[in-house]
Amino acid sequence: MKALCWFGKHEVGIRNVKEPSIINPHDAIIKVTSAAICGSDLHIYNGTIPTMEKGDILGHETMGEVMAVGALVTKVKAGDTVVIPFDIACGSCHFCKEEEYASCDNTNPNSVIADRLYGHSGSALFGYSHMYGGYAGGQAEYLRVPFIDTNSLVIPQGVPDEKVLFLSDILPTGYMAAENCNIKPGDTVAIWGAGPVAQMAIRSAYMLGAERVIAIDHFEKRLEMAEKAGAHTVNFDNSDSVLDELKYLTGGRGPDSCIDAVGMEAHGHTITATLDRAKMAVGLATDRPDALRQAIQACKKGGTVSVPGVYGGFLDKMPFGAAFGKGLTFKMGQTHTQKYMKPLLQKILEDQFDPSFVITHRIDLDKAPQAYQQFNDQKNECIKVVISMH
Amino acid sequence: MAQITPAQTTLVQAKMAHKLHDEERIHRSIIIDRSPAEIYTFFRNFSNLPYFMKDLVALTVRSETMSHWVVQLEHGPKVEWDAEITEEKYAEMISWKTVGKTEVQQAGSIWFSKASRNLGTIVRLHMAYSIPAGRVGKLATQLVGEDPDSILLTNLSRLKAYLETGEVPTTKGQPSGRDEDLAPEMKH
Repeated sequence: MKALCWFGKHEVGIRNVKEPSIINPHDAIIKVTSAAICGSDLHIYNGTIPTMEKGDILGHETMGEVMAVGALVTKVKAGDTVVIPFDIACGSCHFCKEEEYASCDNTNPNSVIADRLYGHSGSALFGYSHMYGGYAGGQAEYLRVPFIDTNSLVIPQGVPDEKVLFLSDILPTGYMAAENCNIKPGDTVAIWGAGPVAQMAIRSAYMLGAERVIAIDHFEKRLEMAEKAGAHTVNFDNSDSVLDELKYLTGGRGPDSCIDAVGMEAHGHTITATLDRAKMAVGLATDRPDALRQAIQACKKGGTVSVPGVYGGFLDKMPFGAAFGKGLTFKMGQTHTQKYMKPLLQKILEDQFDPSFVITHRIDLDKAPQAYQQFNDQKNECIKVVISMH
Repeated sequence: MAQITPAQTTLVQAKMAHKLHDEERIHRSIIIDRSPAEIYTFFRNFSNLPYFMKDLVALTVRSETMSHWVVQLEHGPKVEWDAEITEEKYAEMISWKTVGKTEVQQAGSIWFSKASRNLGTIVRLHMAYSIPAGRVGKLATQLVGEDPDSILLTNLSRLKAYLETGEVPTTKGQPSGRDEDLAPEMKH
């Protein structure tokens, strides 16, 4: 089968690899019908995610048709159309029972690496480094899904892939980012980044009762998309100080909550952002956290900073004094996707929400390597790429 | 019935010791969502150990207390030893040690006590071993992930996964774009 493989920084390619088979009794094999490229795949593309190996198959936003199931699978059947969450959970451990699926204890075969680096290992992820399990990803014609009964959402017949594909990651991720803000009626929420997760977070914040959402980015097309959802937008290229502008917009109080939907590779022109880029270039830093610094600085006293953006290592020059001084709450982490898929599918089926608005590019798998480059280099035009297969 | 508190258990554990020459000691614990009796019963039947223990390719139970272990290290040689169960208490603990001549002289002890809330059982594993001078010793001290502490941690995680889910997580046998994994017509 054809699969998109990673070979190093800015090096991805299509390879003809063997097809996956059932290895464990709760596995299933799915024939992938649609997959998407995620902003977090670009961190891998740019070589900032540790413990990748040459030849790893990428992709964690995937859906398709179930071809075969293992002996102990009880709910999902061959022929079902399923969306696969990006995190792999066992469904049985204490964390899964609490619906904290991204903290699952039992799916990462390399948990000892994460245990050493982070103190504990979270759940495994599809196509996202060996520290997170080393599972082959879903930008491929077929995918092995462990614990399919837990790691799938069955979609009723006749629903187009594009409407439900993003239940695999960016919609639940944006929704959980907004939920983590603990929004109260009348609140103002500021969001750094207007990429796909932020677009979902903006709409989720309104669904959860925010009065105003402010989106901060410097790509006009992304800001336009945010405006369509009713967000007030700030282009940081045209602003002397984002922080002053946010203060001005909120009567000096600051946003009630701030979402960092950028993560480890922030763009930004501040002195600290420039210093981050220089350090990262020579291997002295693992992450460029300038969006997070601004979010902390901007947030109102006692407010919440919610971080769906991915971080991997050690962060320099964090204004922790500001965070302490203002008594901020931090909420972050990988999304407990399985918890949100079903209620969000309901909203889609009831036509309350259609996340397909975010798609700008539709390609077939052979074009995926170019699409990575385009998504990375032309963030203005290229917002979300969907790969159609079979 | 008085409940055994973690503090009491730790005191009991301090007594566990099989003196080995030049020994190293390590210990780790994990919480498993099963009762102490269930985990004890599973573990006491040593023929269950290959279901979850990393690199343990064969285990033959020879008597009520004696067993023969064959380990094929992932990046190293095959090693074998005989082990004897030296002490056991239903649903509480099992101790064993290697007997006779072996490259990997070791003694182990596993303890089960009820965890707080409804979390299941705290399983504590203590190992004492002497690092051999030869090929296995070199491997144990040099290879990241193959050192005794990593192996012990991995085996506890795998025991937990097996008992809680019925399988051990793995990616062995899955496809990749590495040369050895490519479809036959693509190899060169």
